[in-house]
Amino acid sequence: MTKRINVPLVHKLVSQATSLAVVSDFLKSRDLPHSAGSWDEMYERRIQPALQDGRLSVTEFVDLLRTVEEYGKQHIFLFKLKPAVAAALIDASHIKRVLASLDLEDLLSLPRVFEMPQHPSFADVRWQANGHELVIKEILTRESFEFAGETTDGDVIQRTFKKVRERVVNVGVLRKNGTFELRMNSRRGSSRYDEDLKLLTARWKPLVDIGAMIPVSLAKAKKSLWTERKALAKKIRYSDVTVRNDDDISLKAFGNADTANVAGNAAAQHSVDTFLKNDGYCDSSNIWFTKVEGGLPSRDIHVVLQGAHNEFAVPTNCSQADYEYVLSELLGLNT
Amino acid sequence: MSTSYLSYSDSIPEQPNMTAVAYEHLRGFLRGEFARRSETQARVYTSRRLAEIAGDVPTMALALALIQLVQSGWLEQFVRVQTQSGSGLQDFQSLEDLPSTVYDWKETFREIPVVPENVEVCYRLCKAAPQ
Repeated sequence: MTKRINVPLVHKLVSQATSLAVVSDFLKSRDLPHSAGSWDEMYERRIQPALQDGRLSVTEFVDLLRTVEEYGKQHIFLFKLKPAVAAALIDASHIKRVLASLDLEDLLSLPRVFEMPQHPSFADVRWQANGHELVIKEILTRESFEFAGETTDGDVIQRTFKKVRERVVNVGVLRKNGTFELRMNSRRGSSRYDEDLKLLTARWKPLVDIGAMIPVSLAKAKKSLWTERKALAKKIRYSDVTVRNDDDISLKAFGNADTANVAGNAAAQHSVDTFLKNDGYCDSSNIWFTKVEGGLPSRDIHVVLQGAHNEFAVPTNCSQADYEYVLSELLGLNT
Repeated sequence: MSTSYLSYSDSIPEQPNMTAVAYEHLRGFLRGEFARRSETQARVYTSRRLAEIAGDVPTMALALALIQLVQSGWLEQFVRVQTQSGSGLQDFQSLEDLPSTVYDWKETFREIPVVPENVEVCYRLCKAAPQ
């Protein structure tokens, strides 16, 4: 593995995806020297020597990259399919055949490490959880335009936008129990993913046919989040809740700061409850799973439930443990 | 795509059946909606609302069912331009009718560009139930 992986690039990607503190904790957990004041120092004085004398393996370092770039700052789409179909798709011999047909067999032994590939590229196909889960990772480069400034010349105002290139990591997890979770890297300046999803579905079709899967509606979770707010009060803070009805009317209750809690305000509760009692339904919500000292989540995790009916977003980077906590809580509320 | 993959896909219910399931669920819902509608208030549904009512069907099956419901006179499709926070500003009959800008009378109080990110396809209940 050492020969094929571009270790400095892995380090660069780790540095772009996380903080020095996370890498320091990672080294510390392996009883390795871990302090560093800069990314260069971290690489030259901590990572490189540990890799050279075998105290740290390249596989472990690649696993760190997986951990830091595969969770958070994502829009997550949930799907289901028949468990028998999922099991057949996860089957190693099937995956080997598909990868061979795509000339990607090497992914079974080594991930590919890309920074900003010219075309969307599969970077990782691996099994985890004792073979019960298949993970597919794709890397692509996304270009968008960002507002750069405004100039006024007499009566003419010119707005300038600059092209921004960003590395996008999309991750899919197919489980033998018949669930598929697609985590798409968040877009800058847009919350719509219909087109991205359509293109990804076409690209991934040889491996998983997302178009044939059934989206898992999060409507129950959205409803339970509000109706069970008293029981959830210690766990969740509500920044905003939007309820809607089929008469084309919406009611939005929102706090004016991210620390405000809509569900803690009697007037807001009463308004939303009244609306819901009259054929309303929860359309979207902005919530925070609040930090638990010494437990999960390790910090306040912002979760946005809007967009497609099977979609939620975790707008900022988070740890694998925090992400899995959030997903498990939402699925628990969705039953 | 490998042959074996095709055979796996075949074990998922056929798309036409799923379309029929979605169509029937939605038609049943819409029948009830005619009783609820008022003279003055249109009944309007987003795609995600209809997706929830349609039940467990793949996205493509839902899309086909919605096309059929529009063609058979249960629903009218239209496009809605929204503010950045997702509140409706103006409705248009089709994508072809969209202007390049609309006036944002709710949030920014200026002309805003009409881009895919602020356009949503919506549906409204037709004036009378089809025979």
